[in-house]
Amino acid sequence: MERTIIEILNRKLSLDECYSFIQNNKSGGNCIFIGSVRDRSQGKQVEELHFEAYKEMAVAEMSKISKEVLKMNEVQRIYIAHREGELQIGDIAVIIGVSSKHRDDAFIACRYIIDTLKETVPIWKKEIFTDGVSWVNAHP
Amino acid sequence: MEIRYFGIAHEITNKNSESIVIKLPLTVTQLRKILSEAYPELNKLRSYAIACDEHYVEDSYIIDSDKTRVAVLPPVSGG
Repeated sequence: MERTIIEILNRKLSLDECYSFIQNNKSGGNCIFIGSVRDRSQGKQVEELHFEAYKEMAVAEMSKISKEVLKMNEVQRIYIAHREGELQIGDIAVIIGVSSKHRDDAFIACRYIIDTLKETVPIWKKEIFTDGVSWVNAHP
Repeated sequence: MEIRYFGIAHEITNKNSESIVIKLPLTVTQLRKILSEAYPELNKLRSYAIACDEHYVEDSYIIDSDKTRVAVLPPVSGG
């Protein structure tokens, strides 16, 4: 049984897919982080978002993060799914799920995965406002 | 050698990718110089990383094959 699912998808993300994968009889703690699209950014109303990914490399970088996390003894399964393409306000952009024997490792691992993903995984967010667009983080 | 541009880099260059003919070997520092002369707007970014064959590489990395898959990666913003 594979212990990890890593995906970049151009369709709505599913919490059911996440939970049904990470849930298993060795795990008593299941931690799920969901990142969703906010209605405001930089003080402005967001119309929609666009995510672009360097897919091959993004999957490779997420696999690297997962391998680190699987070194934690108690972690059983990891699910990472990130959206690409057009998203509306309220849509889910990312789901991270970790199951472990006890809750502590699940919380720590989940936090580590989303924090590291935001720093290293080659995915870019473009915010579309009523009066223009902005690639998040691009400029100082 | 094929170079792919992502995020704001493909808007700056107006290209998703391009093939360039260039004398190898070449360090990433030398590649950055060529890119910033061709596309000065890249210098206005917070930073940008270079990836070779889907791995981040340092400026001292030497590109020695024209089969190398090079990519220009602006600061990431997933999640």
